[in-house]
Amino acid sequence: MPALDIQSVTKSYNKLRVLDRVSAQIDKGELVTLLGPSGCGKTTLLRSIAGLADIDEGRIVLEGRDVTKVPIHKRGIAMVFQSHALFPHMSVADNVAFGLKMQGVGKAEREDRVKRALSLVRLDAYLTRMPHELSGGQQQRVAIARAIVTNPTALLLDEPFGALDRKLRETLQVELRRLTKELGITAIFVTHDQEEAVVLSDRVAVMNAGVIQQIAPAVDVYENPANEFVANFMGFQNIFDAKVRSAQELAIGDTVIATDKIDVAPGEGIRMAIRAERVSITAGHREGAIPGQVSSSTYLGEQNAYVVDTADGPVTARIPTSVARFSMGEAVSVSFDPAAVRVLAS
Amino acid sequence: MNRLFFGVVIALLFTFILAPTVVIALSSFGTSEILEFPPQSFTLRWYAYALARPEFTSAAWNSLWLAVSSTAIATPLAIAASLAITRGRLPGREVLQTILLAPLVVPSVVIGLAILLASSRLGFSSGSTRLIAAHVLIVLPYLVRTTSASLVRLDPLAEEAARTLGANSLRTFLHVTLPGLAPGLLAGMIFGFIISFDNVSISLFLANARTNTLPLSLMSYVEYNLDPSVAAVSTLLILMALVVAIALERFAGLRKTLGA
Repeated sequence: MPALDIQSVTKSYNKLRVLDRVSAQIDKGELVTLLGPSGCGKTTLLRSIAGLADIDEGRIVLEGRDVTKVPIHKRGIAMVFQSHALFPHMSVADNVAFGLKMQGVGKAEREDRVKRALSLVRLDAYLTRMPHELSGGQQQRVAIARAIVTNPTALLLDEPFGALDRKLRETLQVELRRLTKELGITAIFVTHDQEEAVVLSDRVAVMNAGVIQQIAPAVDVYENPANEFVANFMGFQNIFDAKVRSAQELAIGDTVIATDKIDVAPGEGIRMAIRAERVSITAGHREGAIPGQVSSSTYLGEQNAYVVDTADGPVTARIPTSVARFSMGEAVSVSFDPAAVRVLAS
Repeated sequence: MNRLFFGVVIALLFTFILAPTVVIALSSFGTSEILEFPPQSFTLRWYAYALARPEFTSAAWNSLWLAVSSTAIATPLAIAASLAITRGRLPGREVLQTILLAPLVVPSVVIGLAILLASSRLGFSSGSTRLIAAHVLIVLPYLVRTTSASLVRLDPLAEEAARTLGANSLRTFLHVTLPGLAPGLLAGMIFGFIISFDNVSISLFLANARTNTLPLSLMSYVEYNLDPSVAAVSTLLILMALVVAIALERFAGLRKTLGA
């Protein structure tokens, strides 16, 4: 039995469908991120699970219990928001104790559990502080402690680190992952940051236009995007039209390139994708490579990013500066690592 | 030079604001039968005299009762109105806000006369009910203003967080929303109380012999008498306002409450 079963959830605002028959199963103790651009429906899905938004159709089942019609406060979930949403008039300890108080947990046990939760986020020395006396990172850690202390059936996080600087964000990502794994908490994390999704999650659900485009382990989403949207969103800089020539050959324009095995019938037109890191550039012309001219070059430190104009469109490549350098306008040819070419489902 | 100039301006300003109060307070202690300043010798007998006059004491009780009840009625209304204005998706909430704040800009003489005419036309002339209703009307804008100001600064996500943590809407309101808007609410209640207690222009139209308020009885008293008992009552009123302001500063922080 999955910890969270989302069954064909549909939701519209003013005739605009923000969730379109979304289904997903999340296992106990799993950390899943909902990843997508703003307006893709990820936050609405999270709020629907929490009960903060009503859904038009479908069911939400939490640990075997259908909670679709259950009010927010009886769902046994906990949520962490981007603005920490701490109670400003309560001390850190009272903030964390709030959920336990609502559950009717006795004072002695409450104090004990509050201390334990705060030590899990390494803030045990801050019990009596007020929220406004803490830094942004500390506030968000208190918010996490406040959420996990209640042993929620699901921990829902809505871009909780979005307002923090990069370094702090990375620290908290690692901490959150450690914490949920230690406690075996089922967590759903909303973000628009691919890197954050890849670092954090067991599985990533990429969303667009109210639909989950792909839900798979982070490695799969990163390396084998299911379709063009996912490829684009996960940072595949090169996406082309191509024609299948054989089980191991694609034609891009007049150039035939080698690939790993392709499961599409020869003669079919497809879309293919490849990351800039897996494109190589050689000076002059070469068989099995696409000829073109270097039209831009950007220094990135370890690498140079080049754009090569070809008859089939611009190709972006990232070449380690230690390997080779090319100058603007130079006649070159680009070739693809056969193992890295991805055929996208249409 | 510049500093000296501003120092003088500030001193003059304070004199201008405080001098009448000082004059009233000092003359209330004068022994003479008519108000004089500065008093030649000092006594407390006008305080005893004023406190023994039933027209003042019963009017004071009326005013107190009126101010307390109109503030008490306006408070829940103001909370509901502020929630609707700042949180709701109510259509026309800007219009609602304007209407609620209107008594601040409409001259209160007009309001008093309007309520008198309207209530007589409707055959609704119970003195005290009408008076309380009118005072609720003039107290409400102050409460709505300060309460909304507090509410705007309260993160609505804090309320959602409380809901997800197992609080139903009543407990969320009691534990999160209400403490969040308490400073503004408290300030508004105190303003409202003082506005109602001091009001002359509306009470003038609506009060009768039984519901005479303190400001009204002071006014009619000075028409025929000019002894320092009026000053004594005024000094007591000033003292009351001062105590309230100090208490507010102590418990809630006056500056914080006023949103400065």
